[in-house]
Formats: sequence, structure tokens, C-alpha cells
Amino acid sequence: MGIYGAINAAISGLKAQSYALENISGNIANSQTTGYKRLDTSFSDLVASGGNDQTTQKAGTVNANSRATNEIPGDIQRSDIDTHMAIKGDGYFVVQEKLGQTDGRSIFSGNNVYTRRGDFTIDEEGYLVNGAGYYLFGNPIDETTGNVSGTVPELIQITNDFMGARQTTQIEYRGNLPTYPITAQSDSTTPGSELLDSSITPGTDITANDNTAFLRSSLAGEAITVYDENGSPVNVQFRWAKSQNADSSVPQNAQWELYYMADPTATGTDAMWTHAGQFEFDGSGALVSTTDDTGTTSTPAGSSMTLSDVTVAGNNIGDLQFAFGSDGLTQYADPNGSAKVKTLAQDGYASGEQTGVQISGSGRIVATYNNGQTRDLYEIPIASFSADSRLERLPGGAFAQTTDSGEPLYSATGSVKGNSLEASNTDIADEFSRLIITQQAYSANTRIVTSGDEMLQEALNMVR
Amino acid sequence: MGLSSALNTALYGLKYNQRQLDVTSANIASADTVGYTKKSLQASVDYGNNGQVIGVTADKITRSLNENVQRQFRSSNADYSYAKLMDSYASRVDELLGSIEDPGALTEVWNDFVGNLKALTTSPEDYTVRLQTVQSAKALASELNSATAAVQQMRQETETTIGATVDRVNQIISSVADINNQIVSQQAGNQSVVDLEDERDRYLDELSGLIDINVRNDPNGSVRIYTTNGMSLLDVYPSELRFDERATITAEAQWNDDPALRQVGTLTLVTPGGSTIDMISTRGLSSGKLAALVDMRDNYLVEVQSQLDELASQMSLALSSNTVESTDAGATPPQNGLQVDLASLQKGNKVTVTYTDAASGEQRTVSLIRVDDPSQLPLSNSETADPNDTVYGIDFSGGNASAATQMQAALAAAGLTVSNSGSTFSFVDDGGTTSTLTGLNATVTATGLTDEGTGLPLFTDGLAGQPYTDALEGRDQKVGYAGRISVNPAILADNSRLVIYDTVTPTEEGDPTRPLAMLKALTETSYDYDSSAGLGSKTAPFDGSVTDYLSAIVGRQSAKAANAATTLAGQKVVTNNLKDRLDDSSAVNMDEELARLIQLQNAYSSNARVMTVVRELFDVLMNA
Repeated sequence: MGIYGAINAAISGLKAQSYALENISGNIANSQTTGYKRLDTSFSDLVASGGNDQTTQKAGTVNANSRATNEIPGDIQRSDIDTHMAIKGDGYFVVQEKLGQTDGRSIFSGNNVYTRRGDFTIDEEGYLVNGAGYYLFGNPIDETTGNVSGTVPELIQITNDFMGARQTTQIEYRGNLPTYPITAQSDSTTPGSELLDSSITPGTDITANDNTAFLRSSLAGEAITVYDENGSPVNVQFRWAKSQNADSSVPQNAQWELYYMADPTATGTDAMWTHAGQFEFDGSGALVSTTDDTGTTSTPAGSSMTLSDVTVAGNNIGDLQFAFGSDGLTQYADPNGSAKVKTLAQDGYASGEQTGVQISGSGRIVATYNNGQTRDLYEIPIASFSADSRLERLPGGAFAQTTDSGEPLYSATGSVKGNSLEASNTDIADEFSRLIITQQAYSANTRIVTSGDEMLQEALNMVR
Repeated sequence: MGLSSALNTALYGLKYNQRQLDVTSANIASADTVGYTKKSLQASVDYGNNGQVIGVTADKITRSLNENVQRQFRSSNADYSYAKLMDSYASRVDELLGSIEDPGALTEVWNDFVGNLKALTTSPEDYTVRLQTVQSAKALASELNSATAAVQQMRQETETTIGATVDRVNQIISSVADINNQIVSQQAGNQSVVDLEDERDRYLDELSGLIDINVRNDPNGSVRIYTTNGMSLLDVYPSELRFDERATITAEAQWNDDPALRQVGTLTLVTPGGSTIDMISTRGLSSGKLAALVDMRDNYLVEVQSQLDELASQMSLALSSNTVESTDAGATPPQNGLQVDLASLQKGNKVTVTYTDAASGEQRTVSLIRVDDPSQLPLSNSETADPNDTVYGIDFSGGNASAATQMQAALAAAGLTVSNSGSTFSFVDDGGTTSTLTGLNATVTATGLTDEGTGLPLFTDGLAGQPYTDALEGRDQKVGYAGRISVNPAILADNSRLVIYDTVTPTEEGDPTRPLAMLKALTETSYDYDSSAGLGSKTAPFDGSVTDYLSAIVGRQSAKAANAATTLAGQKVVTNNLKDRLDDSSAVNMDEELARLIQLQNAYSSNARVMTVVRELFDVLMNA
């Protein structure tokens, strides 16, 4: 083909370099676009004429193709917005495009597409939508078990519902009761005056009539707010009364009675304090046995006792575990003669109003509530493909599945990171270097055309 | 990722430096703010996919605070406030009673009175001396009156202060409850709560001085407050402390378990559940200003008052008492019989019967006290200060015969038979089978100025001249007597009665019998003093003359004041040490902050330098 062949090859080179320039300019234009994957250019040569081996073959024209860089991650940048997220490692968010609205409700395309653009925010309907208008999908989490329910991702919609209250089932109570309780009526010169008033039978509820005598011969044991079924706070107030001293000559153990305030407004012979149980301590101050209010004795004491059907001022809380742990309740001498509670906690909480939504470290969407509780709402699935580079590129940093890319797999190794965004993987310095090279190559190609033209001119000038 | 990545990292470095600068400048600005704790910024490094650093982010502002020391400080602060209040009142009481040498103090007025009495014994006929004696007695009475007024004024003050303190406690608790709610919701929203925590700590530190508290942290960021004795002050919802403040407090007004008998305010805790618990009777408070105020009002000052009352009472009785001796009742031997005329026995006066118990051979004493109000019966043995006697109250309102029957009932077990003929009561033993009667007399209070013996009712209860007999009717006459004691108006009108005690066979103008008896009764005769006033014990009451008792109470109050001052000094050292340690752990150290400022400046410059370099590199590339 000769010179024409050379000019032809140079023109294909020009075309290829302008193709590359297009990619470079596009990449630089999107160097600040979140989740953008740059397109590199790959060149392939075509052999010009046929021989059997390279000694007779000639270099031919060139063809330019784009090369995807989906696997190359961009920098992860910090964002102050709680719902912004980035994928660290391999994978894509599952999203869908919104088509429009019908009757005030959003209609979605129904086709999952995939993106690494994670600048999601909550829209007015509670959907998580990113800057390019794609809506995030997730796997809902079962409220009670905390596990993912279902394997097919569904559209995430965050409702700012109230969080339901949790009824208290256990009170953790650890502390020390004094060997000699200093009550209002205790008098060191009168033996037995530190014990529960003799007018009261240990083990029975305290009537309103006996209240004064009871208060004067018992110790305050702190109080804690517990929650009933619908989250109403109920103040449970404990008091301890010693009913028997340890005596090795009998022999007998020291006995303490636990009471809680059941009805502050009780009058007459109505019970004001409910007897909750009896605790026996040996001479060394260790708890040896407990008797609950149904009369069931546990020896050895175990680590908890049941307060059955606790009702305070008309609020029923049901059965409560009174957990003191092993060795959590002791009877050692105390110079102040008061009950010292070291741990007092309960496991219920009131209902709460949603105060925010965040992305947890394990890639879950977590709602926080003003009662101090948090709840996992969705787990964000990450899809991966066998052939990432064969995905179809859509506007806004999204990619669609093609036959070549394969089916989405939910076994990606990447993880979701909250308060982060993935930057474009374009590096301006790189692109500039390529720009220089491209420019050089383009100039060289034009040189070939000029040279070929001159050579042809020479050939034409041969005939005079 | 190359240059832009470096630029990005440097940018985050700058942002982090700026936030640090923010924190440091806040630290410097608030260095002198009470309760401000040093803040610091925690940072975390972000790593990119290949493990390269891609930025630094500020996470959370934290407070520097030693919570252990804070807890100790709060408990010590309660004790310090307690000691401080006790000391301030104790020193006032001490000043009030004065030391033994102080001019114008109770002791000096007393010595003046005794000195005048002494002068009267040598020149009973001298009108000036008599006048001076009466004047000094008046001065003594008014000194006791004003001391009582001052003590009750202090109690009134404590009452008012308790009211104000309770209001403050309630305010603090509800403020803490509000802050708790804010902290819970802000912490859930991932916002910084350090400023709120500082504010809450300021409240809690103040509260720890008022009540001894125990603060418990909840995982959601709120705190629960209990008294150290386990009463709940705040748990989600605040409890309310109530105080039914009384407008006037007198010596008679005292705290009582029974609301009907209580004449001063009491502290009640109303829990959010609606139950009410009396904090005083159930020992809900053990330290802090509030406990000190209650202690001062109900114990310390009450003790001072009862000492003054006991002094006034014993002094009046010593001067006004006459002893009615018994005569032989004419019983048939081997029985012994004695009779005594009880016509002048007043309510509160006593008849003393002594006998030897045949079985044990021991001498026994029985005191029969006249009571006209049967609701006071039976009397306890502690009604008289004498630890060895057995006390019976005898109701005379039904006449002598009924009184004799009651005496008979009281003494039947001792084998004594009591009978009366008019106001003459005969006591006859059973001839040694169970007992042998050994003595009988009655101590009666003179009501008139003459013809009843040497006893002279120089002091009376109130200006109306009501005789003081330590009667028990209605209320104990002794309570608050020091506030009502006054010189008998009849003596003010006629001071010759200081000497003349008999008008039937008229006493000579120069007869010193009565002045001598009065002087002896005050300075020489020993009495037992009621141990409930704080001196001596039930089994070994303070025993001595009235002068001795006065010295003893002055000494005791000054010892107590000194003791309170020592306790305060000790507690102050401990509390201040803890405060210093707490401040060391939390206070802003200027040097440190300034050094930090330099570090930050360097770091900022370095980050900016990175940016410059990146920019230069870009320029080079662009111009390539």
C-alpha cells in the first residue's frame, strides 16, 4: 500500500488519540464527582498486509477502546453527614431510579442498578436518595431478633416511628447490709432494738397502720424506676429490715427481709409495703439462702430471686428477677449501719422518639432515639459482579447489569463505612501525564501525514 | 492516590487543627470558670483501601476528670458543710454563755448575785444591800431570759434556713433532671454533651454540700441521685423534698414523731410514685448542711436550752423549797409510823419515803410526786434526777383521801400502809416483815414570802408571779422556764422580805438566817441534775451546787464549741486537699495550653506546607 497505507495508519492514530483525549477530558471534568470511575483508553493495532511471518508483515492502523476502572477505588473522604457512606473494598450499593410520582407516591423503575456513589440523604418520604437521584435498597432487620429478615433487598424507607417501650424484667441489685442496722429505733443498750419492730410479723406485708413502726425499724434500700408494658415509669422503692440476728449457740443465721413500696396511698389494714423475700446470711456475712414471697427457699442462694407479680401504686409490672449475682449481696459490719447499694440497674426503657439515623460500623442503618436506645433498621447489601468492567455505564455513576457482567452476587468482600464518601478515582496528575503523551502522539501522527504528503508531492513532481 | 490524595489529607489535617484550636481556645478562655473541666479532642485516622492514610477526623470532645476523687470530694464536702454549720452555731452559743471571766456573761451576773447575797448575810439590815441583791437577781433573770431568746432565735434561724435550703435542693434536683434529659437525647444524637456534664457537675457539687449524696451513672448518660442512706432523690423523675416551716419557734416547740405533737417543721420526701417518707424519723440524712441544721435545731440548741432551764429550775427550787419534816405517827411497836402534813404540797413537789427492805437489807427511796393532771400518769423513774429512787405520781385532784389510796397502792408491795387524816398523811410499816420505815419528809415550794420557813420564792414563772414548782401539768413547767423566769414582784415591792421570814414572832431586821439559808442553798447544797440536759448520765447524774452546775454548762458549751472548731479545721483540710486533687485532674493548665498552641501552630503550618508543595507540583506538571 505504501505511502497511502502510512497516511491511513497515521489518520487512524489521530482518531485513536482524539478518542483518548475525549476520555482524558471527561475524566478531568469528573475528577471531583463522587463515586466516578474514570475511563482509560486502550489501543489495539491492526495488521496491514498479509505475509506468513513478521518478516513480510507490516505495522498497520490502530483502534482505540475505553477501558473501565471499576475495580480501582477512589479515595475515601470524610463527610459530616451521618447518612453518607462509602464502600471500602469491592462491591456496589443496590439502587433504583425513580420514574415519577402517582398520587403523591413515588414510582420506581423496578430494575436494580448498582453504584458506588454513597452521598445518600433522606428525602421527604423517608427514602435514602443519592446525589444522582438513585434510591438505596437494603435488607430489613427483625426488631426482636436483630437478624436480617429476607434475602431480597427492598427499598429502604425510614419512618420516624416511636420506639416501643420495653418492660423491665430484671433488677440488678448488689450491695451490703450492715451487721448492726442503725435504724430510728435502734439503741445499742437495748439488745434486739435494731431488729424489725416486734409488732410486725416478719414475712408478711406491711399494712398502712404498721408503716410508722416499720419505717422506724428498717433501712432505706434505694429506689429505681422500672418500666411497665407500655413504658410508664414506676418507682420501686426498697427497704430492708433485719428480723433475726445470727447466733451460733442456737444455731441460727441472720435474716433480712426485703420490702418494696406497693401502695403509697394505702390506709388502715391495706398493705403499703409488699414483702419481697427473705435473705439469710451466715456468721461470716455470706448469703446462704433466700426465700421468695411464695415461700420457696433456695439453698444455696443462687444468683437471683423472683419478685412475683410486682404491683406498685396500681401499675402491674409482672414478675421481676431480683438479680444479686453470686456474692453480690453480703452482710458485713458497716460503721454507719446503713444499707450500701453498689449496683442498682434495670433492663427496661420508656418509649422513645427518633432523633437521628446513622450508619453503623457493621454497615447497618441505625436509628437513635431520645430514650438513649438505638435500633438497627436495615442492613445495606453490597453486590459484586464477576466482570465489573463489563457493566453498562449509566449517568450518575450507576452501572447496569449486562449479560457479560454476570448476575449480581451478594458475597462482596467490601464493607460499608459511615460518614464517608468515595471520591472520583481520577487523578489529575495522571491524566495530565496522559494528556502530554496523547498530545505528543497526535503531533507525531500529523507529522506522518505531512511527511506522507510531502513524499507524495515528490512523487508527483517526478513527472514534469 | 497521588497528588490529589495528598491534598485531601492535608485539608483534613487543617480542619482537625482548627477544631483542636477551638478546644484549646475554649480551655484558655474558661480557665477561671468554676467547674470548667479541661477538654480535649480525640482524633481517629481514616485509612484508604490500600491501608494508606487518607485523613484525620476529630471524633469527640472528652473531659479530663478524675471521677474517683470527685466522688470522695462530694462525700467530704457534705461532712465539711456539716462541720461548718455546727461550728458557726456552736461558737455563737459559746459566745452567748461566755467564758467564766467574761464581763456581762451569765457567770459574771451569777457571781454578782451570789456576792450580793453574801453581803446580805453580813449586813441584812442594810437597805442598799437588799436593793442591790434584788437588782442583781433581776439582772440574772433577764440574762437567762435573753439567753433563751437568743437560743430560740438561733433555732428560728435554722428553721428558716432549712426551708430555704430545701427550696434550693429541689431546684438543683429538678435542674439536674432537666440536664439529664438533654444529655440523654443529645448523646443519642451523637452530639457532644461535655458542657452539659460540666453544668450538671456544678449542680451536684453544690448539692453535695447540702445533702450527703451518692451519684450513680446510667449508661444512657443520665445520673441518679440518692442520699447515702439510700433514699432516692432523682431517678428519671425527681423526688421532692418538703418542709412545713413554722413561723415561730419557742423553747416548747420541739420535733416529735407524732405530727399532732410536733411544733417545728419536718422534712418529708415525696417520691415520684407518690409515697411520702419522713426524712428525720427514718434517718434519711446523715451529713451535709441540711442534716446539720436539723441536728442543731433538734439536738444541740435544745440541749443548750434544757441546760439553761435546768439551771433556772434548780436555782428557783433551791431558793423556794422548804422541807416539811415528819413526826411520829404513834404506831404500835414493832411497827414504825411517821406522819407528815402535806397541806402545802404543790403540784410538782415531792414526798420522800425511805425504808429498809427486809429481804435485801437495802435502803430504798420512794418519791411521791404531786400531779394534778391524771393524763401524765404513770411517771417514769427518770422524772427525778436521783437515779436510785422509785417515782410515783400521785393525783391530788380527787382530794387527800384519794391521794392516800394511790399512795397506799404504790407502797403496798413495800409493806407500808398509808392513811390520812385531813392533810396529814401517816405511813406505817409492817414491823420489819417486809420493810422498816426509816424516814419521811416533803419538799414543798413556798408560795408566800413569810411564815412558811426560810425558803423564799425569789424567782417566779412569769411576771404575774406564778410560783415555780416544776409542775408537769399540760406541759412540763421546766421547759422554757429560763425564758420566763422573773423576780417575784412581791419582793420587788418589799425587799425587806429577803430577811424577814416570820411575822408571827417577827424576825429581827439584822437576822441573817434567811440570807444564809439562801446562800447555802445556791452555793453549798448539792443537787442531782436532770441528765437529759446533757450533763451526766441517767445512772450517774451531775451532782453539785447550782454554782457548780453553771460552771459545768459554760465549760461544756465551750468544750463543744472547741470540738466543733477542731472538727471543722480537720474536715477543711481533707476537703480542700480533695478539691485540689480534683482541680488538678480537671483544671486548665495555662502552660500546657500555650505549649499546645505552639504545637498546633506548627502542625497547621506543616499541613499548609503540604498543600503548597502539592500546588507547586501541579504547576510543574501543567508547565511541562
